[in-house]
Amino acid sequence: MIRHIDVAVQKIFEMKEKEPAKFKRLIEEGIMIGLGVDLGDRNKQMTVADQIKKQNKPKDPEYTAVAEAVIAGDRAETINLTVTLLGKGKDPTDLVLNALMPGIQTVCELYDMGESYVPEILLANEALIGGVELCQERIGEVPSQGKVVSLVIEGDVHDIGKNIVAAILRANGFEVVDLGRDITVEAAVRAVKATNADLVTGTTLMSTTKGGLKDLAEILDSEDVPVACGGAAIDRHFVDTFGNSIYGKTPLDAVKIAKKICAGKSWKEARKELY
Amino acid sequence: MDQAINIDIGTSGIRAQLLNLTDSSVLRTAILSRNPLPGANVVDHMDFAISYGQGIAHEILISAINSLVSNLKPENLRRIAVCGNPIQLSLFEGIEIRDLAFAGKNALEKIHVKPLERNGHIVSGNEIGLYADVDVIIPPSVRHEIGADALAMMIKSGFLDTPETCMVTDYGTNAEMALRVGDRIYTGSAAAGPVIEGQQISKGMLATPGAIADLKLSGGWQALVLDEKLRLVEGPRIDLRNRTFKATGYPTKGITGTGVIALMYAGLVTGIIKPPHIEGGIIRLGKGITFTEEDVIEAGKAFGALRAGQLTLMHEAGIAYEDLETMYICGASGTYVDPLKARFTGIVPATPKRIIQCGNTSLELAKDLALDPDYLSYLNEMKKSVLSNHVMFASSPTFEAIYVQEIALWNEGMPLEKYNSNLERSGIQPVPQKYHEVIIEKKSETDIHELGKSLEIVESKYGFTATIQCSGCDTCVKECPEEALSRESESFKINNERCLGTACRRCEERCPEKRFSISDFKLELPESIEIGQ
Repeated sequence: MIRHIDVAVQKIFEMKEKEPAKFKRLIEEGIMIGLGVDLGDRNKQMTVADQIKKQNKPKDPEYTAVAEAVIAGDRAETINLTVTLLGKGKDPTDLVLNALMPGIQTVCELYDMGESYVPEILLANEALIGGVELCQERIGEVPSQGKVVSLVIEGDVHDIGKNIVAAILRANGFEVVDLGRDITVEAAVRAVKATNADLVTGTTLMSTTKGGLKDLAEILDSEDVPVACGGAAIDRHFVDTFGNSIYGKTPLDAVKIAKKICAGKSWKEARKELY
Repeated sequence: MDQAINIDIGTSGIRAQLLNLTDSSVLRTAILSRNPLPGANVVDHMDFAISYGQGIAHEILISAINSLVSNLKPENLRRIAVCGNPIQLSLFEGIEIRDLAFAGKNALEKIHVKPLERNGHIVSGNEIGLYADVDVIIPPSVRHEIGADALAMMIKSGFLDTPETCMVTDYGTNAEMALRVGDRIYTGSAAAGPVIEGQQISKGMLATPGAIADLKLSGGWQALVLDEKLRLVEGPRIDLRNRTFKATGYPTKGITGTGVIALMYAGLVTGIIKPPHIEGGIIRLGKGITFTEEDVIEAGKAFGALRAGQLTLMHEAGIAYEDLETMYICGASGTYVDPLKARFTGIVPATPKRIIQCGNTSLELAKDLALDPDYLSYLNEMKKSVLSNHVMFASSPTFEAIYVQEIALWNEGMPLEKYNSNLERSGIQPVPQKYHEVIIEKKSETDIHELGKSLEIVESKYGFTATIQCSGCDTCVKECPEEALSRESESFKINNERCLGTACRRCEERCPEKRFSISDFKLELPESIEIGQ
């Protein structure tokens, strides 16, 4: 009996040395069971998150490391790994599609499930941009679902909402040209023409500035580029007072709008299908 | 007996007092419990003024103030002094506001408007449309976001009188805040939204009689309601288990900003509120008074903007949170809130050793000016010294880094541990999760330090009217979220105090016959009132 305990203790110490993570998890689970927590439920939830990670995990372990750096929102590490892989002669397009994008897709899917939060998307987005820019230098255009120009309209500088929209669009495979804040209608029109964009997202927090979005949508009508409008000062009824526009309440709405428009739908069709 | 009037023009209400100049005492107080301009915040007020004419906005505000002044029944009135943010004071005076309407410079350059100086000065009552033709004293605005109300908060709280590291916040729709470290003063202004003043909450209201302003937690929740003297008395008892309430005590009409803070606190500690959700979806507080999940999200946005602003100032000043000795909390919400509950929700920092509740400082500064107009030159001097370290939150990366954590915390249910680890990654100190012992001092029991012999809640009796020939389907009336629109056959009336203004316009947009047009509405002014002088 005493010998058996000895052996068990020895095994436990071995595990603590060799597999500290597993050891810690088992101890924690033991404590949780001791406290009467039902681990069944927790594990099920864990597996949903893990499943998402597993599904998006690249086959190549070197690519997996890149994806994980993006998931962790580690911009420096993402850049390091991308530089190394490009140095090894990896194809930049392949790197974007099969290493960097799976990372941000994972974060986005976790977000959809309530397992990840806006700040993590923003960090992952920063990491993604770091990697994508390096690849872009090599190949110019990176294949994307479509091109979106994002801005905060003239007179306003509140851009937190715009940054979230841009991040979530990128995460869903759209190329985002982020013009920044306090952007005049003229500058926005120039950018749309120069980049040949499919869609503009325009946001504003201040009700005094929302007229700029209406002006922008009306001018861009002739270019056939609609404006997705959102932000605290905007609601659907305001957006419905002018054409060539679609209202979005949440950042995820921006993705839905972009998907419709980039699939060739008109703003009228997009409104009809999304409202 | 010579008299003067002091007025605080707030975004969510206007307070006025009649003063006896012989002994500096307060004779009477009158309150307009909402700002008469359509709109829920000051930017909406400006948008209304720009869209429908600044003249109309000025007229509405002046009419409201005329009715407050006449309600106070002054005799031998010598002067009127006002205080408020730059936008309200400019609308009151009828001067340019477009330089305040845009945060980015590109829109301003387009319309060729240069920022105004807005030093403190004196105008005559008639000149700006007041019935009382006396000197009107208008204090200076420091800059776009920091007005005389912010000066008031710094001067009248005691914030400027101590050498220790301290912070002050005026808990209003636009929450002005300042941090003092040695000789340096850091200022900022967070767009908290009207939740803190009990508006934009489904059953929210200003701190007036009948408003739930606090809750006691003891075997169920006991609502505490403001009575006719603005004292807290017992109201309905709330039974959470059965989702009912017992309509006992003082009759209630709604909930104030401090009531919302108390309710959020109670919900968070008991686990009934897990942002953005409420267990059971709703909390019933009284007859027709409910608190919804949308209210939780609105409250979260306001709390988040306040904490993000305060943390940003401390970060920019380069101090540790523990260095904060004293926190001054001002405004009606700052007076009636339980500071410990406020601290729990994050809108009062976790670290100060003393919290001092200061009441309405804006009205107090207007009082000083009404008693002694020469004080204006001191304020004009002071304006220069507080200009140095203003942090514009809208363009501050620190504020953004913190505010996105707040969004996730309140709207997405992100745990505080993640909030803190994300802050640390951005090089910002995490929020302390343990509270120190704190000394709480109260400068005044009521937000208005001295009420005088009477307190009157004045309702503005005018509005916008129009005659519209239509089928009378009442879609517009039913769609109004604030119940501000009414119809009697072809005559329509908008209660401008309640109207959300240009931010809403559902009445116009939803008219199935497209006959409803807000531009057809004309301001209906009350009959002229005689003022004794």
